[in-house]
Amino acid sequence: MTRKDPPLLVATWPAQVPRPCEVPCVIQLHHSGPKTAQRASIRKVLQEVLQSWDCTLPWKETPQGPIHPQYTISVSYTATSVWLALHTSSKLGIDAVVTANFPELISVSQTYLGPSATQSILSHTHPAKAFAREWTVLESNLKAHRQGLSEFPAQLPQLEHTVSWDTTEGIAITVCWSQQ
Amino acid sequence: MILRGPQRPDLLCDETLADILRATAADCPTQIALEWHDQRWSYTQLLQEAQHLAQGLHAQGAQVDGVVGLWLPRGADLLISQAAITLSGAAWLPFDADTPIERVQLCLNSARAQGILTNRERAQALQKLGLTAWAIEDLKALPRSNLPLPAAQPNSPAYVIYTSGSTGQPKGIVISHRNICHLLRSENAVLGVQRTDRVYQGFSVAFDMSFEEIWISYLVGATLWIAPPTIVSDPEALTQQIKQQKLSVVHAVPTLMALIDDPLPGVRIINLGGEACPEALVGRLVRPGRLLFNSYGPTETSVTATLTALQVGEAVSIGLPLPNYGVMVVDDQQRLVPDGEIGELAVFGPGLATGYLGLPELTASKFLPNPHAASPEEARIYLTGDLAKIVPGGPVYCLGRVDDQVKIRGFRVELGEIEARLAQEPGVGAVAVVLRKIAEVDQLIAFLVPAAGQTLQVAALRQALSLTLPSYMVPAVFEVLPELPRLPSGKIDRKKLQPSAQSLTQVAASSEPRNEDEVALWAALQRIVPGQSLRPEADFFTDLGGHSLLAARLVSLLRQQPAYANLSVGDLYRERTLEKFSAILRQRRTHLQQKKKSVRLPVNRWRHFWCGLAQACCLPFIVLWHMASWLAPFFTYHFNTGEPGDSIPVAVAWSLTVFILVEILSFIIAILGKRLLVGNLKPGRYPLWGGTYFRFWLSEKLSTLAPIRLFHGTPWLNLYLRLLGAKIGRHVFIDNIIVAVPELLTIEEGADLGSAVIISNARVSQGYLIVGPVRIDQGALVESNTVLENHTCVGAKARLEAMSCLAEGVQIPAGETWAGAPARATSRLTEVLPPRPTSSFVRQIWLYTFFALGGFGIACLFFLPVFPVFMLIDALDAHYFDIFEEDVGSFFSFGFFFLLSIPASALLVLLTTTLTGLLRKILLPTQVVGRWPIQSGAYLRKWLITRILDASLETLHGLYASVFAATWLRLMGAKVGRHTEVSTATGVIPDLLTLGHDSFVADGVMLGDEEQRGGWMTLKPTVIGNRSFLGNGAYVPDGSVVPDDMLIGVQTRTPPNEAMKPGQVWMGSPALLLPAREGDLGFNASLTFRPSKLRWLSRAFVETLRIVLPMSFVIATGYLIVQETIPYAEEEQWGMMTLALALAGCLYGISSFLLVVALKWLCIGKYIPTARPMWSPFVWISEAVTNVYESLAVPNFLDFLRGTPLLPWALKLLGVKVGQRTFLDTTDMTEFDCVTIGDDCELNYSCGPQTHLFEDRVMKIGHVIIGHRVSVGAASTILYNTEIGDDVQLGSLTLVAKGERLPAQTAWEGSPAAPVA
Repeated sequence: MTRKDPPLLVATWPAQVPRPCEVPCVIQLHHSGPKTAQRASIRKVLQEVLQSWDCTLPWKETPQGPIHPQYTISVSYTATSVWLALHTSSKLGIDAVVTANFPELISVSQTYLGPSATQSILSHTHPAKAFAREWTVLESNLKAHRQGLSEFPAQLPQLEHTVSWDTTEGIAITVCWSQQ
Repeated sequence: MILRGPQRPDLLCDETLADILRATAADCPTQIALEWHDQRWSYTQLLQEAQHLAQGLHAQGAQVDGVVGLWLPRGADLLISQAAITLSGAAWLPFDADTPIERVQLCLNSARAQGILTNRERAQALQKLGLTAWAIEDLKALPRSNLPLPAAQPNSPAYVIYTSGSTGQPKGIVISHRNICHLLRSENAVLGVQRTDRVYQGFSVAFDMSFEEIWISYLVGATLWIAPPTIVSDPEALTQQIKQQKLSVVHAVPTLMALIDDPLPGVRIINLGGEACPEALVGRLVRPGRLLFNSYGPTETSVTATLTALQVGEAVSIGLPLPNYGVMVVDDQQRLVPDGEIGELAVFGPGLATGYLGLPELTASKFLPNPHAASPEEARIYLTGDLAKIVPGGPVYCLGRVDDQVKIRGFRVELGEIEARLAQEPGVGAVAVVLRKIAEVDQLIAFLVPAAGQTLQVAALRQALSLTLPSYMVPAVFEVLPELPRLPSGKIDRKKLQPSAQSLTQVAASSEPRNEDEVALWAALQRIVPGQSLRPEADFFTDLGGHSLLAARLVSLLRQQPAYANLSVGDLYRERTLEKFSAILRQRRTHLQQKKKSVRLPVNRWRHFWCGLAQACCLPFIVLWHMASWLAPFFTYHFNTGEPGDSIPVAVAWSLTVFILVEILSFIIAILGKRLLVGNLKPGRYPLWGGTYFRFWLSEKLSTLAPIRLFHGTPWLNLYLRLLGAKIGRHVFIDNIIVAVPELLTIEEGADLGSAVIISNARVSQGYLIVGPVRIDQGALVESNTVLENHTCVGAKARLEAMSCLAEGVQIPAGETWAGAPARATSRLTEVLPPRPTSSFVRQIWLYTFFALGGFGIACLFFLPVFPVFMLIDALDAHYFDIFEEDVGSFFSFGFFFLLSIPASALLVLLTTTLTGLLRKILLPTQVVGRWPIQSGAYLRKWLITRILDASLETLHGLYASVFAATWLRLMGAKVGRHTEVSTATGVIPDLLTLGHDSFVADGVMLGDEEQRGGWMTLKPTVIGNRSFLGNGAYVPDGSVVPDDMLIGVQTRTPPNEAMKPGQVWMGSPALLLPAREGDLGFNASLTFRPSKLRWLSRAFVETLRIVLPMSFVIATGYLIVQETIPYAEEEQWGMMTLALALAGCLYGISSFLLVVALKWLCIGKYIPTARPMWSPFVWISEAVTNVYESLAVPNFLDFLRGTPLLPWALKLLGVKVGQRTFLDTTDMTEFDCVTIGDDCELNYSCGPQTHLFEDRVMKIGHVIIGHRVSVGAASTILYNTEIGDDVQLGSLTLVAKGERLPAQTAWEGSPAAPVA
């Protein structure tokens, strides 16, 4: 169990996961299988976590992912891991991507992150890392607002909390949430 | 042991399927037979439509005892066609919608089919293969005929179904009418489906369980609800629909029911079949009051042979034989086995097929003489190939297959057929196909051994199979082995054939790209998801491991190619499979190729100046005539009163006469002005502000003088359009239309147009006025709130659905239905109507007379209450002040009359509402749901009510969006819940409208628009749930049931009822389900939904002022003008009087506008982005300013300035920032300071920046910034917090969503806006 600043509960499954209180809890599941298998596995983890909290209410599957009457759930997949965030606030989003350079980085950045973010990425000593950070911030925010990705996206209201970090495996993660 | 079902000779009838359908149609003609989306067919209509198609089939060569293929997508057309084939006397040969064309060809040839009934696209493909194919569109278009059709006999074939064959060739099973008709009666004797049942129709017609759904329903007269394709494999949606549609009977395969996690309380019969039923499912599905059946039967015995009602705690069996059927268990020598012993199940009875088509040897081996026959019906047995045992007295237990036949997704598959097909492929040495569970799902796995020295290409094998086998027969996994495991006997040891761990995660190799778009897509994907198998059916997200970043990378990569520059990531989210996404690429590329790049014509400053000057010279005359419509009767009344001996009734009569005369003269001026002064415009591109543009503008302004609104939905409108130059055929119905260039509009006989149809056949773009023809062909339907640009055509009997835009140059082929903005073809069917009702010549004359009297009568009705107001003011003035006669100066006089007019205006509103309400209650009976001819009394009543409501939008405009609006609608007959807010809704039929409590209907919503087509008007009730929100300009057709807490976005067409669930957000046309709505901003309920009494009173006070004061201004101005001009009349200086009236009229228009300018700056100051709850003074005052702007400044002044260089200047006074030479054909602006429009922009008719919304009862205001040289199409809306870059082009009926930033030099269209290639 690790804590981020501001405090954020991050656990690598299997682990004893405390209930989210003021901050979300984030669970990392190492899984390199196909996405269907990852989806099934993270739902088992979700079930076990909810059971460990004595929460008997079931979640409901929607095209946008699982929704639960008591907790807001957000999930992100990478090739080697699945990230699950839970919180009691109404807005919560998590996104994880593997930090990597790719030829379309500038064009993707201009189209989806905007000119100022692109400028900041290009002036960074490690553009791929900066891109991954910006991308996860955008995606987690979109997820929290239940919006889809689009070209030249509208500026969404910034949530109260945004926490980003990188893992030793080179994965960039951002979690954002509102207090209420 | 032999087990026989009950002996029921009464179920053995000499009949055919056609007899059954005809009998039911005669027995319950009005009972609904089919429901498909929002359309319904009664049994009479089903029979009529099927007979019409049957006549066509017969004419094309279908004959009794012949075979006709049937290959159509799921829907009502499919079932109607099935019935048509049987009515024609032929037998149908059904194919699943996704069957490969090669297999269709194979089966048609094998069955020696006379032809195949399909759609046009498939027909063309089949014809290229030399097959006889008939397109349903063509058959529908044939004239109706009453010639008798030849009848099939009970022993004639009813249908042929092909099942998988172990030899590698599919085998056709022929079922006679006698077979299947007996089955329907026999099975329903056990099932008990009744006429009152609503039956789920989810099976493919190629699967014979569909008979239990379709034809048992036809037998008893039940209603079939045809599930849309998206529902049948989506357990969650299916559950929702079963409940929402109140379905009572469901036939399904157990695996589908196993996925449904809901008790389905309303379903009284569930019939499982097609595969083995797991015991665990029984416990879940059994409940009190429900019958849960398990049915069993091969296709060869006509669908079902045994049936049982399942009970919890009992072993699952296949039950007992149906009435008149029998079963036995035999050994491999066809000898009966002892009780309880396992053997092969054999079936006998009247349902046994004749045999396999063209396969006598196979028939002889499977259909054997029955040595135990007790009647002629039992003469033969059919060996099912199923292992079974019969316990003494029954029931029968099915224990698997004798051979290698399996069922997958409900389809029976001979594994041998797949093996034989694979063995034909080069390089294949040995092959075995097995069924295994992968991730709890049955999948086919092919194990292959290469021939000596050969290697196998799995991708090639998969592709080869896909070409000849249906998708369910193509193995999911191909595994190449060095050798196959064998039993000591040498046979393949199938039990040892298990998928390897690798194959469980295996993905098949890529298939070859088939066109240049797939080449581009494959190349991009190989960079984005290297090593993945690229197959057309692969889903980017689920099969290729795609996620948002990969999607963005793929789209960015493709966008680098100019042909795909406007691709959006939303396209990939919408069309996730590679095949469909590559179709999007093709669409973008071809669109780009077709589109000629147009070059903007810079505006010539002098041309701009001279045109403006010419327009300014015309304006006083136009304004004068507009003012005359109310000033003339105003003047007449006062000219005839005031002297001793003057009679008020005479003065009123004269005033009304003058009022009507002016209205009639307005028509004459509009028509003569158009024909004599303006002449006809020709298609072409003309410079903006040039001579042709000026003529176009003048024509449009003259046409606004005619009060055609009085005659919407009447033949007078057609006549008026003809006189303006439009070509309008006979029996054309037009509810309400706006035509830019009437002489370039052709509407052919029998076409129908809904309400607020905009024929935008002249529009301004890129510095040009672009003019072109619009054609609506015979019998076509153009629904409400649609926009048709120039050079468009709606083909014969085609349909353009409501809230759709037909972009420039697009033509809808005959018979097709298109929908959305921009319009695209849909598969929705149009409900078939009875033949067009006819009316006599006398009736026609009477209708013309009625509509003329009605139109002018309603105009007078809303003018009449002005006379008591005059009397009140005159009496007060005469008795106490005598200002009218005194020379106290214009300013004092105006102020005095203004004060007197305040109570008089209140009286006017009260009288108008009371009088209208009373007339509506006394004279017009309650409107009821149903269908009537448009010449009927019901239509005339509905027309009168609609005209009254339309007139109220003008005279009582201030009532809308006020606390009094709900009461007004209640007075008119609507059911309106508490705390509901209603703004300027149109299309309302009050008696049929229910608005829940706390709902919100924003400006310009078309609410409950009824259907008028084919000479019929159909009325349905419209219900808006509690706390639901209908955004500005939304379209809600009648029959809509909007659930609680819904948000229907701006300019959105509500989706079908079955798609809506409480709490959802829908936006666009076609409507898209949005994942979430913007959260409320935390305002207290007392400021949004539950105001205090004080707040209510305060708002009511402000709104009373906003209703009364503008009227007072009008009346006071009228008095002042009369006071100033009457002396000329008394001295018979008529020329001076006319001049004075003209001057006064112009001054009145200008002063109306200046009053709004003053009000805006005094009460609001400068608008800035903000969010204010609805029950706050700012909102009331802001709404008041908007209301006065819309009711005074726009109709009296700004409307005339549309399309002139003067309008931008006027709007600048209100705070709008407008650049130079900008063309504005719209006044739709509210928070003026929040609007910025650059230089040389073009905003076409009725488009506008929408700088506020009232979602969740909070008025959110934001900026709309439009760059330079931006073109905005007609009826488009740009929501707040948006920024439109320079040189952007927006198509008609486009919706730019909140927060969008459209980059410069891009083109967008649609609702919501999407890039145009």
